[in-house]
Amino acid sequence: MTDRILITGTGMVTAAGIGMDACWQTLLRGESCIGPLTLWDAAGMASQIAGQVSGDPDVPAQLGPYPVVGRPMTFGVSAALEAMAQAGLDATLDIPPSRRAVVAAGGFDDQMLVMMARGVDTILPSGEYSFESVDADSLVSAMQGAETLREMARYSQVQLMQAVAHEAGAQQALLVSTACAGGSTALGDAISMIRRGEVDMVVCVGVDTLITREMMGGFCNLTALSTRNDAPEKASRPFDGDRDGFVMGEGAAALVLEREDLALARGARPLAEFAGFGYSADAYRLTAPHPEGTGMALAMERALSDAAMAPEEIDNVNAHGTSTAANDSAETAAIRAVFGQHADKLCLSATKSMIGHLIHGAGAVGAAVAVRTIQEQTVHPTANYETLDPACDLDVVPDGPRSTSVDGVLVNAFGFGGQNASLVFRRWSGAA
Amino acid sequence: MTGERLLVTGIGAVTWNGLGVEAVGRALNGGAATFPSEETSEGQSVPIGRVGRLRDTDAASFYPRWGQLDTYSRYGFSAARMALEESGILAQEGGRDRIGVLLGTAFGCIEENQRFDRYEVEDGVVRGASPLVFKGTVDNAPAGWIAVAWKLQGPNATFVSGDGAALEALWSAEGLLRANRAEALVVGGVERFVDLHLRLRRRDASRQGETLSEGSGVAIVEREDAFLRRGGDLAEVRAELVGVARTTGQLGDALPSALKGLGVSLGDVGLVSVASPSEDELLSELGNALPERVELVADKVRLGEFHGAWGGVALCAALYRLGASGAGWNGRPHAVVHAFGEGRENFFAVLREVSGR
Repeated sequence: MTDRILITGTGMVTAAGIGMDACWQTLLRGESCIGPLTLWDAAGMASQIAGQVSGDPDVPAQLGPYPVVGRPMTFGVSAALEAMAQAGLDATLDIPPSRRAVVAAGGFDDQMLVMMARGVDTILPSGEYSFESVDADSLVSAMQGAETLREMARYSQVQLMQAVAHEAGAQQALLVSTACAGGSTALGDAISMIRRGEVDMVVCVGVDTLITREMMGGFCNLTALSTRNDAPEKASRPFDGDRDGFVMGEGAAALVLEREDLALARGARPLAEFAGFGYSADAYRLTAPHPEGTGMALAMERALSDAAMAPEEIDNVNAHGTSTAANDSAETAAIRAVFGQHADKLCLSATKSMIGHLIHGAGAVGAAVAVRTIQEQTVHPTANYETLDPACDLDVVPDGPRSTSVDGVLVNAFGFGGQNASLVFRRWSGAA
Repeated sequence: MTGERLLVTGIGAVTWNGLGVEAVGRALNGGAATFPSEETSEGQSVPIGRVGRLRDTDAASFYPRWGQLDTYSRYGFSAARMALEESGILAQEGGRDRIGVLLGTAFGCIEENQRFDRYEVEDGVVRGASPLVFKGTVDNAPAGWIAVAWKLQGPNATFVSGDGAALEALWSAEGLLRANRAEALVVGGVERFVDLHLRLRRRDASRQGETLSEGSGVAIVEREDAFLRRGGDLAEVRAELVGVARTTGQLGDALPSALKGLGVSLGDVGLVSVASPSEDELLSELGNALPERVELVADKVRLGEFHGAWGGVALCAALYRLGASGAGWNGRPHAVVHAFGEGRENFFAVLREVSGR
C-alpha cells in the first residue's frame, strides 16, 4: 500500500465563475469579481460590496432523498459533482461504500438562523414568515419539514454532506466548523482518514455564503470589511499598502482524494499529490492574529514536516491574504520566518483579491487553485497590488499570470478564533 | 503512526448536577430521579438538565477575560480548566506549542448567533450589539478561548457532526497524537441548548422520553513518552485510550467489529456505555451480542441527552466508574464508550485500565 494521496478531481463555484475552468480563466486574467452587493438592499451598510456568484449552477433538484435548496447547498453540490465527474467517481465505482467518505466544512446556515431568530414564532405554527432572502420560499419550505433544531440550523451543510455522500455512495460523513480555516481542516481530516486506512477515497467540500445583512453588519462592527464602495473592483487588495479590510465572498470548492495505488489501478488521472497538512493555534486573540504570525508559522512548518519537504521545495504559496491590515503583515512575517531567504524566491497568490473571502470555503478554494496551479505550471496574479507596504514585501505576482516551474504549493487558511491550517500539494512525479 | 500509548491524564465536566466528575458520579448514583425539572409555558413539568449561565469562580479568578465568554464557551472552558489542572500538564516547563484543543458539538454557537441575528442593522452596522457577542458566533469559540487562555498552540479544530462530534474529536486526536503531531490534546464535547430545542423536541416523536442536557465533558489525552518526560506518574493516570473506531451498521455487529479492529477481546470488556436513551432498547439490540459480566449502561437515562457533548460526558462517566470500583470495570480491563455519528455511523472509544494505577 502506498502512502501517497492523490487529488483526482476538483470543482469550484465562486464569483469568478461556475466551474473550475471558468474560475481559473478569470483568475488568470487577474480580474476582480467584486461588485456592488445585489442579493439584498445594502443601502446604509458600511460595506456594500461582495464577491457574489452570478448565475445559477446547473444542479439536480434532488439528489436521492435530498432536495438541493439554498445557496450553500447548491454551490456545494455543484462543486462536488464537478470534482466527482472529473475523478470518474460515482456510486457504481468498485470501491465499497464503507471505504468512501465525505468531509464537509461549513458553519451555520446564516439565512436559516436569521429566519429562526426573527420568524420562527410564526414559521412553525402557520408557515408565515417575514424574511428578506433570495431563497426564502424554498428555505422556509424545507424548514417546515425539519423536525430537529440541528436539521434547521445546519440545514444546508448537513443536507449538502448527506446529499454528496449519497451521490458518492459513501457511508462515512464528517462535518467540521473551524471558521476561515474550515475548508483546510476538512482536507486535513480527509487525508488522515485515508492514511489511517479507514477509507480509500474522500470527497471534500468547503462552502459558505455569509453575504447576509447580519454577518456583514457584524464584521462592519469589527471594522474588518473594506468600505471602498465607490470602487468595488479595487476593494480586495491583499498585501497592498492601501488595503482597508476584506470583502465577503461566497461559493464552494471540492476535491476528490484517493490512495495513489487504487486511483492508478482504476485509471484515474492524477492532478497532484496532496503531500501534507499542519494545524496550529495562535493562542493570542479570537479576533486578530498574532502580529508576528507565530501560530501561522507553526502551521506552515508542520505542513512541510508532514510532507517531508524542505521550504526550498515550495514554489508558490496560496496565501490566506485577506486584505486586512493585521492578517497580511502577520502572514508575511510568518512566511519569512518559515522560508528564510527562500521567501524572496516564492510567488504568492492571493485568490481573495478577485473573489473575496469564502470563510469556510476559503481553504478548499485555495487547495483547488493550488492543484490547478501545479497542473498548468502557471501562477495566477494577485489583483490590486499597487502600493508597497514594507510589512508585506513578498512577490505577490502583481503583473499578470506567470508561467514558471511549480513543483510544490503551500496553502494557508487562518480562522476567526485563532485556528490555523496549512496544506502542501506537490506535482505528481509518477507512481511510487 | 507509532505504537506509543495514549493516556487520559485529566478529566473535567460541567453538567446540570454541578462542576466536576464527582458531580457526574452523583448523578449516576442518583439515577433519573435526581433530574431537575422545569415548568413549560403550557404548565407541564418536564425534566431538563439545564446549567444556565455558568459561574466558575476558579476560572474567573484564573482568567481575567472570563466575563467576556459566552455561555457555550464557558462550559468548554470550565471543563478544560478542571481537566488541565488534574493532568498537571501546565506545571511543566517550556512551550505549549504541542498541546492543542479538539472539541465536538452539534449545535455549537447557535445561541450567540440567534442573539446576534436579533439585532437590527442600522446605518451599516449592527446596532446595540457588543463586539463580544460577535466573538461567540463561531462554533470554534470555546476551542479558541481555551487556546488563548492557556497559550496552547497545538492543533485546534472543532467538529460539528451531530451527536458523535465529541468522539469524532477524540478520533481525530488519536490520529494526531499517534502521528506525533502533538504531545497532548484537550479533547471533548460542548453543548448549549436554546429554548427552540425544547419546542422542536415536542414535534419529534423519536425524541420523546429523552431529557435534554447541556454542558461539557473534556479529557486530556497525552502521549505516554511526553507524559513520562515531564515526570508524570502512571499511578495518577485515569486510563489508557486504546483507540477510537468508526464503524457502520447495527450496534450488535458494529461493536464486535470495532473491538476486533482495535485488537481488544470482547471477553476483556467490563463496561459498555451506549448512546441510547433507553436501557430496554439497548438490551434488545446489543445484549445478545455480549458475554456475561459485561455491564451495559445507557447513561443518557441518568445524565440526559448531551447531543454533541455526549462522547465527552460519557467518557467522564466511564472513568468515574473506574475510579469508584478500583478494580477495572467489573473486574475487566476495558470499557467502551459509544456515540452515534451521522447516518449509520458508530463511534466507539475504548479505554483500558493502566496497570500500576
